[in-house]
Amino acid sequence: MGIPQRHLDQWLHNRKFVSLIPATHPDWIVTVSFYVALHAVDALLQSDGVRRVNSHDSRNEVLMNTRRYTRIWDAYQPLHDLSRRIRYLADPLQWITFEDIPKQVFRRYLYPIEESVYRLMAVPHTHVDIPLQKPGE
Amino acid sequence: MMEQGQKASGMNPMTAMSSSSESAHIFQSRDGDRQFIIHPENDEIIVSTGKQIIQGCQLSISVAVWLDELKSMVAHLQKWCSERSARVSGCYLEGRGSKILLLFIPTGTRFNFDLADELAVLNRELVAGFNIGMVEVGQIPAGDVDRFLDLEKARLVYGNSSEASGSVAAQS
Repeated sequence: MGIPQRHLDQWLHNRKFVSLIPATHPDWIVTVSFYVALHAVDALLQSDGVRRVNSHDSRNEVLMNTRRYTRIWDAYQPLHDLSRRIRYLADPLQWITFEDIPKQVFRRYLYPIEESVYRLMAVPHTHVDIPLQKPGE
Repeated sequence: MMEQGQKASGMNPMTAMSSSSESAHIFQSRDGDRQFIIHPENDEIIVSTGKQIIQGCQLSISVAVWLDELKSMVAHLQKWCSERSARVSGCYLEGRGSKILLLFIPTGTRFNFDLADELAVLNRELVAGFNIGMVEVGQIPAGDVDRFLDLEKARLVYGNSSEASGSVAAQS
């Protein structure tokens, strides 16, 4: 199975958008970060020939129940959960802060997912850390 | 069995296959299409095929097994939460379509990243360890419980509602 270019493109496309989101909106940085991770995961699943992943539930089921994807699941599940709840909170800044983004959301969840995807697809790691806008910019 | 069978009020009761002290056997291969007429204590009469009776019994057994698994999982969850009482103040369970939704309330007011890591592992363990189908796990703030759960249907499996749900406490 070849490298799924469309998911790779969308992965990069969403990654670029993350760095454009103002520091005042960490909730949307989390949400877009999740969709960065989702396209990375879908690239891997397609590369692995996994079919019938057409919903969050079906994707979760594959990640959770496949030993090959355990490391991805352990970072993907919290990021998915955080992103799906935070959008609905009336006061999301009480739930996470901008300061949580680089250390917790990126280094704890997003980057490990991306690194695992690169490793499992056996392609060189080319991504750099996502530059964030500084508070007040 | 009533769901499987067809009610037939007013029919004449048929004579039983054998005396009531003897076991009556239903073989799907032989009796699958045969009609059985069942007489509950009320005046209803239920007409059901042998196949429908067998399917109804199998369903009852599988529901009972699933409920036993659910009870075991809830006991496991209560122990899991108790062991993490410094991080978890509450846990709600709700049936959501074909899956079980478990939402945990952290003790603080912020998303707890350490708890989130543990919940991802717990999610895997619950699905692998209990035969109850898909389980979804998440973390929500105490004050937003009613935004993510139907409190009429959800069950608090750990903690108490006043501590686990700020909004419930505010309403009471």
